[in-house]
Formats: sequence, C-alpha cells, structure tokens
Amino acid sequence: MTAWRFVEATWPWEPSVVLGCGALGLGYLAAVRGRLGGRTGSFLAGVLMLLFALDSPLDTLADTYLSSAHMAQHLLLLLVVPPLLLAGTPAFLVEPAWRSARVRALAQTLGRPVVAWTLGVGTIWVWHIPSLFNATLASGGVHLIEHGSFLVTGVIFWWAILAPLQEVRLAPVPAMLYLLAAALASSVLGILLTFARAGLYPAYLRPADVLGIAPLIRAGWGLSPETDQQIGGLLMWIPGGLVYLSAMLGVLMRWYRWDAEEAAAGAASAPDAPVPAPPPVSSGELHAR
Amino acid sequence: MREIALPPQALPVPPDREGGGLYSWITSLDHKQIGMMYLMATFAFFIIGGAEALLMRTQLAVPNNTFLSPEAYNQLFTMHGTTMIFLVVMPMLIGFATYVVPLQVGARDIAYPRMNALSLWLLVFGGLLLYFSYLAGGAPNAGWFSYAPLSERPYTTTTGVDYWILGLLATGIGTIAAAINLIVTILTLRAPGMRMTRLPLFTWMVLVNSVLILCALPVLNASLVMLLIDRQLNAHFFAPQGGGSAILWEHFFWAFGHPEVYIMVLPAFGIISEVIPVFSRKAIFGYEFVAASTGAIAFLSLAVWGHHMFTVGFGRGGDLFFAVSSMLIAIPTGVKVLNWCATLWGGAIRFTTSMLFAVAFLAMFTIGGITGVSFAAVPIDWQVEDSYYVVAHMHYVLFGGSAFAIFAGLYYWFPKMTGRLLSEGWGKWHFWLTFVGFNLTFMIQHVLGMMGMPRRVFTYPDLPDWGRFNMISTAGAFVLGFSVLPFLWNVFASLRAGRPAGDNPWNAWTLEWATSSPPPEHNFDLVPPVRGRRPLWDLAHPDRPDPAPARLYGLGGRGPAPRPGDGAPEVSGPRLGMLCFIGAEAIFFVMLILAYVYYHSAAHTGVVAARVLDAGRAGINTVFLIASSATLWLGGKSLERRRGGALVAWLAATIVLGALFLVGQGREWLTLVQANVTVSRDLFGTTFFTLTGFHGLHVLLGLCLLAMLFGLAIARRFQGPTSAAIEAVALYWHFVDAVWIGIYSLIYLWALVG
Repeated sequence: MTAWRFVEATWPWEPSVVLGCGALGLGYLAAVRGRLGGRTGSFLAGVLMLLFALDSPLDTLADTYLSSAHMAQHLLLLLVVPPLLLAGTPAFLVEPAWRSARVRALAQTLGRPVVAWTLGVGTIWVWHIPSLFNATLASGGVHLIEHGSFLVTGVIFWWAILAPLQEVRLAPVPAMLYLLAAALASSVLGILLTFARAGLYPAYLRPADVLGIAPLIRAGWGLSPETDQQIGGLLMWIPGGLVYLSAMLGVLMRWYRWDAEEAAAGAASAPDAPVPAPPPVSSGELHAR
Repeated sequence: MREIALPPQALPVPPDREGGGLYSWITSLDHKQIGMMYLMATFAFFIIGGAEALLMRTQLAVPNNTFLSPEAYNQLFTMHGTTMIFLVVMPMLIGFATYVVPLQVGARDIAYPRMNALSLWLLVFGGLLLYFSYLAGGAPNAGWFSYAPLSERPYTTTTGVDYWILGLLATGIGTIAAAINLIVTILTLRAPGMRMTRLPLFTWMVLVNSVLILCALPVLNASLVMLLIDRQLNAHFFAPQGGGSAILWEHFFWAFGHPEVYIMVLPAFGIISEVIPVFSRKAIFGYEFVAASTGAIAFLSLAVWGHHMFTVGFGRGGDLFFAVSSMLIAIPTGVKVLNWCATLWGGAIRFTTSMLFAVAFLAMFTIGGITGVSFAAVPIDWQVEDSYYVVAHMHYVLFGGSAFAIFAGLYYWFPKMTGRLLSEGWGKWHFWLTFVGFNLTFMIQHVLGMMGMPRRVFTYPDLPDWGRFNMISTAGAFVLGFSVLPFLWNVFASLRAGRPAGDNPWNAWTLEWATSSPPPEHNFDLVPPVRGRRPLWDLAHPDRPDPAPARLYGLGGRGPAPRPGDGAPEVSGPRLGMLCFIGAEAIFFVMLILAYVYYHSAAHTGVVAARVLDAGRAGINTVFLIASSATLWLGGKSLERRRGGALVAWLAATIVLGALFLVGQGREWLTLVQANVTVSRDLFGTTFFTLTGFHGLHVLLGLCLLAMLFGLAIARRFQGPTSAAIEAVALYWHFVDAVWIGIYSLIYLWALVG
C-alpha cells in the first residue's frame, strides 16, 4: 500500500467530528451575519484545522501507529486551533456574555496569567505521564476527555494573548515573558521525550496493524519506534517552540503598531504637553530611592 | 537647547561626593565608575589573553615545533578561550551596558548600585582565582568547554579544572546579577516619555540580552556545580565508569554555550545600531525589524545547541531538526545586516575610527555568519568539526564581530566617559593594523581547516602548505598583537592632553549626549523631553521631529484606549528584581531535576529509590514547609493591617517551621548515609543529594533573609501597609516552597508509583 492509497482509503469521516465542525463553522457564519474578512478566514481556518486534526489520516496514524503523528495532532489542537479560533472571534460576539458579572468573574479567575499558564502548560505535561497517556490509547472516552481538555485549556492559555476584548489581554512585555516561559516549559518536555529510551508509550512499539500499512511505515518511511518517538519529542520542541516565537514576534509588532498610533494621536492633540511629573515614592519603604 | 520648566516641587540636587583617589574608585557605587572599571579590568584580561594567543601562534608557526610542551599548550588554549569569553568579551559588553544604559534611559543610576559593584568585583576576583591556577599546580587544560570525561578526576589530576570551575562560578554569579540589574533599570527607571518602543536600540538589545543571560548562565552554573561535585566528592554525573554520561555534559554545556555566543554578540549589535546611524547622519532603517529580529535571535539561540554535537550521533531526526533551526537563525541576523546596510545607503557617511570599525564589523561578521550557516549543513559539519575551519569561523564572529564592535563603542563613548577626544590619526593606525592583522591571521585558517588541520593540537606534521599557511597566520597574529599599542598610546595621550569633547561631539541623538562629558555623578541636571526615538534630534528640530513610525501589521485589530501617563512603570523595582532572580534559580533547579530524571529513567543500577526513601517522613517535612509559606503570607496580611506585633509573631513562626524542615532534611540525609547511600555511591545518591542539598541551601538562605526581616520587625522598622522587602522575601520563600513540592513529587511520589 503506498502513501497516497493510504490517504485515499483511510479518511475516516467521523460523523461526530464532521457534524461538530460543521455546526461550529455555520454557527459562526450566522453569528457574524455573513460578514467576511480576514477575521472570518482565521476562524474558518481554525475549524478546518480542527477537522484535519481530528478526522484525517493523521488521526488514523496517531491513534494506532505513530507517536509522532499523535504529537502532531496534539500540537495542532493546542497551538494552532485555539489561536486561530480566538483571533477569528470578533469582540461583539463576546460582549453580551461579558456584561454578566458572573462570566466576568470566572474569566478573570481563569484568565489570571499564572492560572492560565499553569493550565495551558500543565495539561501538556500531565497527559504525557505514561500511565495517563496509555489510558488514552486504550479507552476512547479518556481520549475524548484528553482532546477536549487540550481545546479548553488551549483557549484559556491563548486568551491572555488573543482575547477578543482588547483590555483583557496581557500587556506586551508580560505577554512575551508568558510565551517565553511556556516555550521553555514545553521545550523541556520535548527534550525529555526526544532523549527518553524507546518504548515510553508501549502501544507504539508493535502497533496492531489493522490497515496493513506497517511495512510502509517501518520500511518505506524508515520510522522505527525509536526514531518515531524521537521525532515526536522533536516536534514538540522545535516546531512547537517556533509557534511560541511567532506569537511573541506578533505581540511585539502589534505593540509597535499600537504605540505608533497612540503616539501619533497624542502628538496631534497636544504637541506642547508638559513633561509629566515623576512617579511619587511610596511611603513605608525602608529605603527611599 | 530649549529650556525645560522645573516642576514647582523640585528639590535642589545634593552636592556630589568628593571625587578622586584610588579608594573612592574601589568603593564606588556609581554605575559610571563601575562601568569604566569593567572596561579597564577586561582590557587587561584582553592583553593577557592575547599574549596567550601569541604564545600559541609562535608554537604553531612551523611544523614539529618545540617552543612549548604539549601540556603548556593545552593550558594556554584553555586559558585563552576561557579568558576571552568569560573575562573579556562578555564582561566588556556588560561594562558598556552598565555605563551607557542608565544614561540612555535618563536615569540617575542603575537600579541596584551595590549589586552592580558586587558584579564587578566578582568578575575581578573570579578572574584572579582562575589565573591563580598557573601558580597552584597548573592552569586548567581540558579546553574552554572542559568536556567530560577528560575533565573528570581520573583523567585530569591537577587542580586546574577546579580553579576553572570556581572562577567561572564567581564570574557567572556576577553576570546574572548584572543582568538582573539591567532588566530592572530598563523596565522601571526610564525617563518620563521614554516608552519601551522608543528605547535606543543599544538599550533594547541589552534588555533582550539580559533575559538571555538569565536563561543561559544558570545552566552553566548548574553544570559547573555538578562537575565540581563529580571531581571533589567522587560523584558520577558525567563519569561513564560510574554510570554517568559524558554526553550529558555536552548537552548541558552547549545548552549554555550556544546562547552564550549570542550573549556575546547581541550588545555588539546594539553598539553598531548606535554608531552606524550617527555617522551616516540618518535614523536607523527599520527600527521595528531590528528590534523584533533581536528577540527572534535570542529565542532561537535557545533551541540550536545540538549543532555543536552533530558528531555525537543523534540520529537523522535529531540532526535534521537542529540543522533546520540553526539555519533559521540566519534569517533574523540577515534582517539586521540588511537594515544596517539600508541605513548606510544614502547617508552622509563620516569615516571616524568608530565608523571604520562598525563598517568592518558588517563585513567581518557577515563572513563569520556565512561560515556559521555552512556548519548547519550536517555533512559539512562532519567534515570540518574540530578543525581550524571552526577556529576561523568563531574568530570572525567573535573578533571581527564582537571585538570590532567593542572597539567601535570605545571610540564612540570614550569622549563621553572621559571628556576627551581620542586622536583620529592614531585611531586609524589602530584600525588598519587590526583589520589587516586580523584577516591575515584568520582568513587562511579557513583553508587550513578545509585541508584537515585539527584544532587544539600543539604541533602538526610537515604536510604541503601547512607550514606556510601557519606561518602567515602567525605573522598576522603578531601584527594584531602590535595593533593594540597605538590604541593604548592613544588612550594615554588623550587622557593627558586630548582635545575637550564637549557634550555631544558626534552630534548624536540619544539621551547620554544630553549631559556633560563626563557626566556629573547624578547623570542629568535636566532630562530632555522624550517624545520619539531620537530625543535630541526632536529638540534641535522642533519644526520637523522624527516622523511617526510606519504602519505595521500585527495580530488582532485596534489597540486599547490611550493611557495617560507616558511610559510610567507598572511594576515595582524590588518585586521585578526578585522575580528575575527567581527565574534564574528556577532554571538552575530545572537542570538539577533534569539530571535526576535522566538517570532515574535509565536502567537502574544500584539503589532503587523506593527501598530507601521514606515518603511519609518527607511528607511531614513538606507540611512544615507549606505551613511556613502560610505563616509568612499571614505575616504580610498583618502588616497590611499595621499590626506590628502579629507580624513579628508570624515571622518567628515562619523561621521556626523552616528550621524544622531543615532539621527533618538533615535526619533524612543521616538515615540515608547510615544506609550507605552517599553522593559517591551511585547515580541515585549523586542526583538525590545534589538536588535536595541545593534546595536545602536555598532554604537556609531564606531563613537568613527571614531572620533579617525578624530583626527589622522587632526594631519596628515596618510601618505598613506594604513593604518591598517583605514582599520580595515572600516571593523568594514561596518559590523555594514550590520547588520543594516539585522535588517531593518527583523524587518521593514517583518512587512510590514507579
């Protein structure tokens, strides 16, 4: 069986996933009343990525054959789909919910940088504990919980950077440090997986070859279990890190643009504004500087 | 210059200290004097390191030479590399930053003056400790990266490597302290109006560089500590004969080593970004891109260390990923080089000595960068690894790059530091001798490397052309050595009788030129208003200030509503400083934890953790420590309510609980030692005692800090409702507790489960 035949033959078309993504996409288009633009494209790209991650040959490979494919799937669910969905959500969709005090309180608790970061990064670490990971391969229900947790904590994590409401987002410098710390933390996990001994997740050592493509994978693509696990770790480490880097650069460029607009607005309105007074020294300090 | 109205509540400036005298320099807390002392000390080390290089080149001038013994040669190349990297390039750039950054942001001094002095003197004493090894049984001789197992006890019996470790630990701590100082200065002490997006590029690059230092130097410190424990306590981190892994040393060292080379070059980029615009009479082209690419380089540098280990045997997958990420770094670097070239294009270029070095930097660093990218191609790396091709590459980026930029900076800021202009005539002699000598020395080494000459060999056989090319290289090295003399003469003569420089001899635009040369101790009598990236330009040309920067695309729509209060710092200095320190310590602990995880997940030899560890007893210890965090938090609450007595009580409770934890840890250790589980017995012992030992040291440090707070609280020095000191110590203490929870879960709970 060649790679192309494999792709043709194994697109699963899982009903729940297709219907769910379809509903999400159509619901969004209805909510924005057919207003198309860059933002809509971003959201729809996110839906497509979700569909691809959960319902494509990648999913088939991930569930049974290749830990590197599983890693690629998880990276899409954590690092690609949530940012695209958030970036595509316009502010007016969120504002009605935001008026409720309870929703705001919940968002503020979950959205505190430490909480969001821990949830985002911690989820990645927790699901790689061998006993938990093996449970997801054995049981469909646990697997569903895992993927659901990735999507939910992914949205919580990226909310701090890409929330539709501007004032909720982190300021630029903390945002860049937030992303840097997340990149370092997930890199460490990637490093551990790259250099761990083979067979960390035993199900991938000798997968049940229902589709008959094991020869293709082992001989044709040259992926032994050791190489496969190594590539999985490397995917988390380097391409994963690059996603965080791109986000950091995006935050930086966004910052320069806002600042330029703000400066232009300020200069236009008050060219001879007096120099602001220096900040007061707070009392109660041991050493006044 | 337009007059600036003083606010009505302005206070008169306090009189400056009586200056002069060696004692006032040694005890100085002024960032300018400390910066100058950095430059003087590092220049002295530069001369010494250069002498070491000349000795080596003399030995290599002819084949089969007997000028130096192999042992002497090994010591020389180790000391030359260590000196140039840790005692010259890195601290010289830190010295520039220490001097220039507070001036460029319009501050009165650096954020923590005493810690600044500590950094300087740690550098000096660390360097002296390293050099003392020459007198104490021999300098380190295992290379500047001290690969295991050569650097381990059975193979290196002299104490040289121990001096290397201790000297680098001292300077490493000083460097981390300097990085914290610079970050806090840049984020909290900027003049009003100097938003982060208006920072001079030198300051921005110093900021990014300081974050990189916080990421990389703790990795070095952890590795050095582990090597020292191996050597002195017979442990087995990197000793294969004890089950350790020499490859792990390579990973750990290069995880520091690669960011280190970017630490050595980012501030150099900053100097160039200041010098080129000023002497082209044009603002820098693409400010945002230069700034963003700096961040990209810093980030990517953390992910490419494997390219120093292509010959170790990662397998195709690993090699491929590191090759791709290494090639990616060329992109942001190229963005910078092109932006500098675009700045030159169409400018009214004035070739002062500083500008000559800056333009030469562009060419030399590009050459070095291109040979560097060639290493990213794994097959090429396999051919030229450990040959003179590597030596040529590294010297093109470090000398043709960083050192040339340093010289550009010296000529640029010398008038500001001393009030005297350097002679342009002597400067040009210095430049041309340096340029010719440098290229003569190192260009030919590319060819030697391709021909197969290995590096770090004390001599070589008489193969065709090898002798001739080495002789050319040695001749160039001596020209390079002599090139320092015009510079030294220039400095000496200018200090004695140079022309007065005035405030702004180069007609530059950043804030350091808005005060006298040299600046008064308080830096500025008046800080000009900052409404753009070139404040002095805007001041001199009120009719045509710098245009607003170009529109850029970025993530997500409109920005937030404009904030009042231009660029006011939103985070407090003490809190930020402590957070930086915690970040560095977190990385230190991550390294020790990685060592534990690495060995624990390998095949078990020797002690099985579950048999000897008592999770219950350690659990009780954990409860003590968590309780101490709670009592400290309650102490903070009682301070808010201004109840001094309660504060004293809670602090005392915290100290007692912390001490109980330490006692419990001691008992745990005693039990293990009595069961014959020691540092030197096997890998479990090695990693366990190192990890818990360092945690215990951090707890002890925390107890000392708490004791100081306790004393101050008894003396009623805390008025409330807040205290920066208590908040900072609380952050530290909670961090130490969080680390223990991690260690407990990792070691004790994992032993129960796995």
